[in-house]
Amino acid sequence: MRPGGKQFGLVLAAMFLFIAAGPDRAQQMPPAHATSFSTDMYYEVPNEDKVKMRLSGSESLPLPGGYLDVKKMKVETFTTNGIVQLVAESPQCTLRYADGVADSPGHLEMRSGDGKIHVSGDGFQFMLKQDAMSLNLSNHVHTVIETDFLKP
Amino acid sequence: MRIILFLILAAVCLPAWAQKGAAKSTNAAPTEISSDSAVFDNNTRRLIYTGHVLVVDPKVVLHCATLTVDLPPEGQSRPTNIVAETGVNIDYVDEKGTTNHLTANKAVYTYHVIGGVTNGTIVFTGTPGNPPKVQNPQFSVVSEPLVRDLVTDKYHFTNEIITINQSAMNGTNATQMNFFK
Repeated sequence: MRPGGKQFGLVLAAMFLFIAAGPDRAQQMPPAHATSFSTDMYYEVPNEDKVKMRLSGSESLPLPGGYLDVKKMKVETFTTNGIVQLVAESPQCTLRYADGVADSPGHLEMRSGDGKIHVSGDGFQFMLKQDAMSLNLSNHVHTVIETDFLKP
Repeated sequence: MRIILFLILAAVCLPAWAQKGAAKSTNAAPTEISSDSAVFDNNTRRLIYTGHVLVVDPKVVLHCATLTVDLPPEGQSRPTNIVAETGVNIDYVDEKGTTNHLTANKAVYTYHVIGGVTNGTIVFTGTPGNPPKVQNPQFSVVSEPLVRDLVTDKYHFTNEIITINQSAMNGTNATQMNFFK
């Protein structure tokens, strides 16, 4: 998915803005099957026009309880000057929009924007709120760090 | 704190954090960290590994229960703070190829450049009655704390206890003993 939040091929952003807005501004769940969606979370003032986080997926299906089953989830975070901080990908996750949480018992891969850090694990919970963005990996965590990273 | 210059040059070359020579290598294998679980906070840019943490570097193997890594700020490639806690066990190969073993309860790596002045240390601490200890086939050193200054490339010991393995030192060149003076 390319940066530039307004240029998506199949934009379902409007239906997924609950992610960007947080639970307090949650919007309606998409009523049916959706494909190739993306939604952006923006920085707060004075960088309100800068994308902070982008969540995308190849497909989503509504689940009971107002959740979404998202295929090929991808989360990207950006600095205020547009540089990629990290990219996280998983084949599948459940999106609990009201909580601002994406989780799955499945595998997740995450890498830093500069490619120096690669983290993987099985079973994760992604907190995707404006003021609290975190990732909890519950099993088999493995990290590869470029050698010079730890050396003076 | 008593400073022992040039102490244990052949032995106490601690983790890869402190190996300036190794930093020049461009083809070395990456550092790998394994653990049961981990938490990454994007706001604080902090990674916390918990449970059977294992760090494997080309010359260092580190075991601990919890490892906290503060990722470097944007535009920097070096972490500012790394903390290994509980049951810290490190095996490393020094520049002479000797395998060394270090135990501690906690190891804290800090690195900052403030006003053009670089400060970098690794501080190893223990628990009451169980201070940090580094040993190799020739000798062992106990010190609380045990500090490695990354800038001066020297070690600092406090109330250290040095034990020589006489049998291992038999036949050793006397110049290697000078660090006790």
